[in-house]
Amino acid sequence: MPNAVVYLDHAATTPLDDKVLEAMLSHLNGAILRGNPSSLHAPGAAARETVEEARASVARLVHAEPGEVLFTASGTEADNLAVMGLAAAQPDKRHVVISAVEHPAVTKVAEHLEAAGYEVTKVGVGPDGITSLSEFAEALRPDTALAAVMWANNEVGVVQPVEELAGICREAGIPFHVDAVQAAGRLPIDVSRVPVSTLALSAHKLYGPQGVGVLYVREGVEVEPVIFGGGQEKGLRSGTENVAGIAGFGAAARLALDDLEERRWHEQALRDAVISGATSIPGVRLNGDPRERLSNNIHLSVEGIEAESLVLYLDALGYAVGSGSACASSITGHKASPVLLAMGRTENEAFSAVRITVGKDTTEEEVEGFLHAFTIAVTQLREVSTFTLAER
Amino acid sequence: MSDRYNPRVIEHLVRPRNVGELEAPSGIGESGDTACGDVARFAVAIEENRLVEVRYKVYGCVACIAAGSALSELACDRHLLEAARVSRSDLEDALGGALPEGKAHALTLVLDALHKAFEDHWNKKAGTMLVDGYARGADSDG
Repeated sequence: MPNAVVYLDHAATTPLDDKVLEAMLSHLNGAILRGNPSSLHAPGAAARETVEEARASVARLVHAEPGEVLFTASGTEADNLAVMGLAAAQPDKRHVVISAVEHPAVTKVAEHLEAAGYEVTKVGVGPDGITSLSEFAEALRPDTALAAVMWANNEVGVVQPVEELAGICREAGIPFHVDAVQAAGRLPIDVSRVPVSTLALSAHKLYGPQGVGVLYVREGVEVEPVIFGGGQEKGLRSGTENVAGIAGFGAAARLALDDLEERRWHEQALRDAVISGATSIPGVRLNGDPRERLSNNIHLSVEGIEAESLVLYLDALGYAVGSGSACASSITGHKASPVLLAMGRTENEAFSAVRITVGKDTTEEEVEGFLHAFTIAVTQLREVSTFTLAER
Repeated sequence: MSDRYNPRVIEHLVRPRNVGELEAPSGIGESGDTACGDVARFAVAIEENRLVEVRYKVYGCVACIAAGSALSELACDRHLLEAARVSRSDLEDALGGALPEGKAHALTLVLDALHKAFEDHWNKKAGTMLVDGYARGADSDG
C-alpha cells in the first residue's frame, strides 16, 4: 500500500460510509430547504420527518421502540445524561455502582457525583477483563440509585455479561445503564430481551458521522435532563437537532443491522490473523479474554517498548493504530490505563499496550502488511531499548 | 507548543543514531528508572579527551529515544568539555524545536545519562591517577 495509510483504529472512530455521506449530503448542500424540526411549516416538517426516520432506524438496530430513542451530541453526552439523569430522578438514593473498566464518560461522571456526596462502588474485573457477577450483585444496596457496566470495553474489547448483569439489576429494582458505544454494529443488541434501563450509542463508531449520539431510555424509566432549553427530545436533550448528523446515524444504523453478521465474520477472521501473527513474536501478549471480545479488537502488550514509540513508528510506516495507555510527563507522572491495572497488569505492561482495531473494509493484504510492519517496528524499537527480554 | 512531535523527532525515532553498547567503554552512565517509566544509558569511548564513540539505549517514550539519538550525534567526535556543554536548548534545536508539552523531561534524562558516563570515566581515571601517582595523572588526560 504505497503512500496510503492503513487505518487500524476503528475503535477510535470509523471512516464515514459512502451511503451515510449520501444520506447526509442532501441536508447540507441545500438540495433540501433547511428547516428546524420544531417549526410548523413545510421545511420544518421535512426536517422532522428525517429525524423520525432516523430514530426508527436506530430503534430497529437495538430492537427498541422509536419513542425510546433520544438523540444527543455524542456517546459521552448520552452516558452523562444516563448517569446524572438516573441519579437525579431518585434524589434520596446516594449510591452508584460502576465497573472498574468503564469509559471515562461514565467514570468521570461517577467521580463528579462522588464529589457531590454520592458513594461510588467500583466493581472489579478478572484478569480476563470480565466483571465479576457475584461482586456486582454484592455491591448493590437498597440506596443504590443506578448501576452502569459497559457492553464491550473500548480498550481491550472485552464483552461483559450484560444480560446477566441486567437481570440482577431488574430483580433488585435498580436502574441499569449500559454504554454500548463499542458494541453497537459489532454485536447483536436486543433491548427487548436484555432488560437494560438506558443504553448509550454513538454514530461515528459504526461508520456514521462524529458528533451524534443516542440514549435509549426504556419506556417508564425516569431520567432527569442535564441540559435545559427548548425541550427537544422529550425534554431530555434540549437544543435544535443535528438533522444531517441524525440522518447519517439513521443510515449507518440501517447498514449496521443489514450487514451485522457479514461484518462480524469478516472482522473476526482478520482479528484472529493479527492475534496469531503478533503473539508469535516473543514478549507480545494479548490483553483481555480471547473469546469474549469484540470482533475487531486486538489489544497487545509488547515487552520492552513504550506504546507511544510503537504507535508513532507504525505511523511512520503507514499504519494507524491506537495507543493503549499514554505517557503524560515526568511531572504529572505516567498514567497507566486504569482498565489494564484493574485487570491486574503491571504498569510497564500498561505502558506498552497498543490497540489494533480492524474494520469492515480492512483487507487481508492490509493485515499481512501490518504484521510485517509490526515485526519490523518491534524488532527495531527493541534494539534501542535498555529493557531486554532476557532481563525479565 | 504543539502536542505533536515534529518530523525531525520522528526521523530520529525511525532511524536512531548510535544505538547500542560498547565492548570496552571508557564510561557508562544511566539515568531514570523503570519505576518512573524512562531509562537512558550512554556508553562512551574517550581518547585524549575526545569522545571517539558514543552509544546509547533508551527505554521510554518517543521524546526520550529521539533526544538520545540527537545527543549522541551532538556529542560524538567532540572534546569532552565541549560535549559536556551540550545544553537542553542545543538538543531542542537538533530536534527541530521545543518538544510537546510534558516531554521536556526527555532532555534532562539523556543529558543526565551522558554526564554520568563522563563522571564514570573521570572516576575510573581518578583511580588510575591514584595508582599511577596523582601529580602525573592530574595533568595528563581526562
